[in-house]
Amino acid sequence: MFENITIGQYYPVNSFVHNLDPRIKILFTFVYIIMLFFVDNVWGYMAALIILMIMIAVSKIPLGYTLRGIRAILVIILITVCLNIFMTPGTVIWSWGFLHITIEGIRTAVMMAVRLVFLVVGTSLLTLTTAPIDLTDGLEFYLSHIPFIKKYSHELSMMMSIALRFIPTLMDETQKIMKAQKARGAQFETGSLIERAKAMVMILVPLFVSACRRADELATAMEARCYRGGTGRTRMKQLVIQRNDKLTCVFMVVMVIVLYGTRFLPDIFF
Amino acid sequence: MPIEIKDLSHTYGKDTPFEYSALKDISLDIDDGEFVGLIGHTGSGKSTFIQHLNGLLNPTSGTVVVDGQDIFNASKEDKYKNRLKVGLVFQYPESQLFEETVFKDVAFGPKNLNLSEEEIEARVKDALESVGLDYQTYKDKSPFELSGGQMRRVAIAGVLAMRPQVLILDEPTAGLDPQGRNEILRQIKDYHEKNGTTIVLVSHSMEDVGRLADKVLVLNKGEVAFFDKPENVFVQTEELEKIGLAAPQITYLMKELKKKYPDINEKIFTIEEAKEEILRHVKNV
Repeated sequence: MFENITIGQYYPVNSFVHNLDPRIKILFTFVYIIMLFFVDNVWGYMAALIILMIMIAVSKIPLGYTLRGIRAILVIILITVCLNIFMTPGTVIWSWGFLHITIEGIRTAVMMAVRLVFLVVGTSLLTLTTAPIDLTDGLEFYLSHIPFIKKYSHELSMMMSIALRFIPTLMDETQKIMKAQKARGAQFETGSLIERAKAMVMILVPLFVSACRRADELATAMEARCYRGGTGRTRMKQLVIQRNDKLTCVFMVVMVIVLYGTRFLPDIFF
Repeated sequence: MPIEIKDLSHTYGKDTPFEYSALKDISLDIDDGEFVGLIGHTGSGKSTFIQHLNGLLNPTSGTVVVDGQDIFNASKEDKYKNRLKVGLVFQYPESQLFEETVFKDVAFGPKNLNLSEEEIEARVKDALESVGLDYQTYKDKSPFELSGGQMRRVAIAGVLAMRPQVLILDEPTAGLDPQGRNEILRQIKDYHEKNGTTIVLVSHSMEDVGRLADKVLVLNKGEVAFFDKPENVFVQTEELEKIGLAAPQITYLMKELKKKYPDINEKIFTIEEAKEEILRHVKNV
């Protein structure tokens, strides 16, 4: 049930990308996302694909693994595609009742689908190559530079790292509870929709109970180690920009120029 | 209801970097009414193994035959029926409680068996009493207002109420105080003797297993290290230590005594037996 969610699942190998400064990786991902929205023709998507492939190759993560994230958003992609195909005004090539398919619609639908896939693969690459703790360190750095938020930057990033940390734990817990209820004869796969919704109760109640208990235990454990928020807190591992990080910045600038540049190329196919 | 396990293997996360072979070609038979103690180091595959016995996990290869029926090559309905015959109490089973009252929670399993109201009530009463909880006092309480030990009992009762023919318990005494441990173990033993249920008890305590079980199954890194009577397993202290386990403490004492007094019996793993053996020896001298 949960095997196909890759968010927050660090893939432990030793690669160029894994060893980069998390701040650079976050910046890179952010720029990559923005640039995807600038891309508006086939050349741009091809360039974005090549860049994505380079990133995956350098990160040493198997291609199939990076694509797993798509399964989780498959429904969203399908809805987007349908909406775009049928809702975009333009040259009608096929119609049935109130449904019209236009050339423009197909074009936007394909572009949106590809864009969504690139977005998901690109961003899951960030979480796959960055351990959650590094990720929040990087986020804290950025948050501490935003006015109004910077006061709470440490608390926010601590909340995020705890949330990330608990995703796999709670998923394990859910599976355990499901199995325990199955062992008592519960059925989750059969029955009417209402019966199945009722069956969720026997998972959710124990899950909430255990989540609250875990939260309480964690809070006690943190207090026992004298945790009192971000003020005056120093780090054992300081983030330092290295040669590879600078190289990545150069690559990022090249990416921006290339992807933006494709806008000026003549579009083909459509 | 005998259980035959043939070449059972299970690999977690196949074709990912987290691939991990938890069980490797396990073959063994558990006879009717046997009390089997399952021991192994953390990560030896104990929990994976027991989840195959009622079909919660599907094996990578191999079969499990319960009561003459292959539980993996069965129709969905038969699979479900088989699961109800083999009761499985997970580790920290109190985390599965979800109903408003103790009665409703214990009745959840029997209800899935489509029994009559009276039968369900009788079974709940029986199950609660088997784990030492008074039916009248506890039936209307919320399971969440009970103590940890009581919650554990309610959860165990929830499986007992289904009257499974095979009962599997995964470390039912973990995290309990010594008195709670002894009580629960005694209740399991009583239940076994009263109903003749086949029992598989996962435990870290050699003393408990030695005292209760007819046979000991030792798993090591997903393979069967030993499957024999306790006296034949526990004398092999060196082999047990090699795989990160140990024999009951009293067995070590008896082994040391044997070095001095060769006619003493070292195949002993409870204090009562040791006492008798030493007294016998002293009388003979």
